[in-house]
Amino acid sequence: MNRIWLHHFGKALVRGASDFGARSDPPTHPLLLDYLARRFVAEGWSIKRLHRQMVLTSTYQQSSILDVERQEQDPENRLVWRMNPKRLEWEVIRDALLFVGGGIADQIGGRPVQLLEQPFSRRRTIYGFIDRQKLPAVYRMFDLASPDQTTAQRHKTLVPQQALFLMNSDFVVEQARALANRSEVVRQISAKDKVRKLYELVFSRQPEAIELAAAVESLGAHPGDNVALLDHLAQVLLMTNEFIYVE
Amino acid sequence: MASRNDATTSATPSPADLIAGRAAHARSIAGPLLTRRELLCRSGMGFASLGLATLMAPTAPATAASSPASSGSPFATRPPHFPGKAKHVIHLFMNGGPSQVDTFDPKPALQKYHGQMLPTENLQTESMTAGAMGSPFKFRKHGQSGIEVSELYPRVAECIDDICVIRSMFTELPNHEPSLMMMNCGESRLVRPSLGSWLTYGLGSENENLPGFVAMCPGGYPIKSVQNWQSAFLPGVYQGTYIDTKQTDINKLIEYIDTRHVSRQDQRRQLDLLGLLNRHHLERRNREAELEARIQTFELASNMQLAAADAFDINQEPQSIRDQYGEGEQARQILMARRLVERGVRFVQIWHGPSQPWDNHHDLETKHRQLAGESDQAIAALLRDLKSRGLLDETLVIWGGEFGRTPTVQIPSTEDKAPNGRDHNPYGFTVWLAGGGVQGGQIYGATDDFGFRAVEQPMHVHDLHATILHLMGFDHTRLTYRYAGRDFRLTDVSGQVIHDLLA
Repeated sequence: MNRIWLHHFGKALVRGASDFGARSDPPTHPLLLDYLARRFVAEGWSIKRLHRQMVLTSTYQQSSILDVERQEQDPENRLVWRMNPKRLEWEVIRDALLFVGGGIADQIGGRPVQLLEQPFSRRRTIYGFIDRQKLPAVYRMFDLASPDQTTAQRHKTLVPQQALFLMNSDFVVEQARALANRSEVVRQISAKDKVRKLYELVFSRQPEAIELAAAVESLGAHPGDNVALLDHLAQVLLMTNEFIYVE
Repeated sequence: MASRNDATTSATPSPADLIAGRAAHARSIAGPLLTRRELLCRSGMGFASLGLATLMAPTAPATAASSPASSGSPFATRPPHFPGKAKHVIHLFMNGGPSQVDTFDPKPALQKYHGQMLPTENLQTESMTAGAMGSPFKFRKHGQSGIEVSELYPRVAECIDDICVIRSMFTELPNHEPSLMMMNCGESRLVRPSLGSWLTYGLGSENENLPGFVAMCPGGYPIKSVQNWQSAFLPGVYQGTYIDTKQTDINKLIEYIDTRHVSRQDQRRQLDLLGLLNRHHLERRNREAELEARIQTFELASNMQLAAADAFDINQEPQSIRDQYGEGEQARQILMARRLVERGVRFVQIWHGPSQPWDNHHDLETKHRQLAGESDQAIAALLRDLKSRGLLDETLVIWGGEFGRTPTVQIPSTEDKAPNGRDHNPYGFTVWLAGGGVQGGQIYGATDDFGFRAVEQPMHVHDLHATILHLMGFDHTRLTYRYAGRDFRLTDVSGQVIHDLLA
């Protein structure tokens, strides 16, 4: 119960996700934890029902945008006055990059695939091959759990190597190019329309005036003269906080 | 084992708190607007984007040149509470727990009782231990100070007059995980920032183009992995950057450091635009600290590309220096640490290897000999090299593990194993310090006749932390961070500066 809550809400009801003993903090919501546990048993131990129950709550559906006043009253968000900011995990980042690049494979099941070798697999990251003895450094950079230990909760770090992956990896550059070359974008004639389409594909919204102006400016005086600039812009959008955080 | 308390937690925020970070953060993280100077500092070629910044912050006050903290970087150098002797730390972490009675704390009485039960009761440790196990290694006096060092460290022994051997360390719990957390974060159970994070938070870095806090371990993580260098509630930028020093190719040491797909100029333009879009986003989200921290990682990454390739490239060292450090992973990472410190990196933690190589419950003689042999020459070379460059005075070198080992033999878990190892021992162990304002050539404290428990001048890990912070120029009771309603510090409510260690 506690761990499922953790994975939906970002923080568990008993903060130490795998320790309910004398050394753990008491639950933030003891009655809720008991209620969920009792209902879980009463409804036939269905984890699927439990997921549904949690994600249908208005608590789950809150935005994660910070409220300064409430932040002062409850800086740890123990009372869940907002959704905890949710940074995409490594698997989701890679899948999202493939998705906006237009090339993610929707195949289900099958043998694991190498994810970091060229040509890059388009399969979802969950199908990636994991060599316990030789876990690629990039997985660790993005806080993948150690395959040698049980892990209740992944670490959540912010290090420059994560930025370097988005800036310089062949994989990300390939997805940025694919995004800029999607027919929906290519079809647009004006720089403004190309930017608008990129925003739609990446953020599912229209750019604000400031964003539109900055993005169009980055494409140079004569858009089309330098197609690489559109690739660069596409990559910038994939590096933004907006792309990496769920609100 | 209770640690000593002091009740002098300051109630009001001190000026030092402001210096130590809040002022900088007020501007860099919580600051309401980008000043023109901040914008220019952040965007290497960013004049073109000035117009847009004005759009984003139409009411920007004209304070461009007024604030000294306006470089806006969390890594900007900040003064400590008082001038510290040490500016950098190299922490040689012998993870797993090296045995004090086989290295720096000779106990002839153990030989006498070898194979027999000690006259005193064995202290309770993780596993059952039996009779005394005399050290298989010979000790000899070294240097002018005549401090005894075992044959495991012949070269380090030559530097003993620069070393302060603390023989009376103790900690609370007999297990690796809590003891690693205690040694690194000053708290064995709750999530707290690590020493390196506190120091980079307090002092910034002298080189903004490299991570201020580097954690190196060849071939994987130690136990507790990245928690050992976590920043916890301190901003994410202060956590350690992990480097796998098993890699010999610099482009793999820090992966994706290589800009192959765009020109540097184009990448700079990308990052300027990214910064602009991210800040616009940030302003609409009440400057969420985590979002700000992620923005910082791109600037750091960009600078790292230039600086890291140079800093980690030990091939730039003359052959004579490389010969002094010797061959192998330990030599390589220890030499890298010197290059990093020389370039202004604040805290370098060097782990001996993945998991816990020094945890020798069995075959201690063979394994300790091998492990010490791997780093003896390089550690001695580091001390000499730092000294000859005038860097030892300002660099604190720490050697030690998360705890020590029992003077008694561990009863093997299975019958096919010989009883030839030692169990964990939190009651008494050795850590040594060198450089950075520490008085070398001295022994501090003592364990009992058998090396089981610290009995003279017992020094808790909190005291070690308080002393390290003091050497770096901080009053450990005043280096605080407000979180969840109270001011936290590395030493929590404990810790005493041990002035006897200071030069």
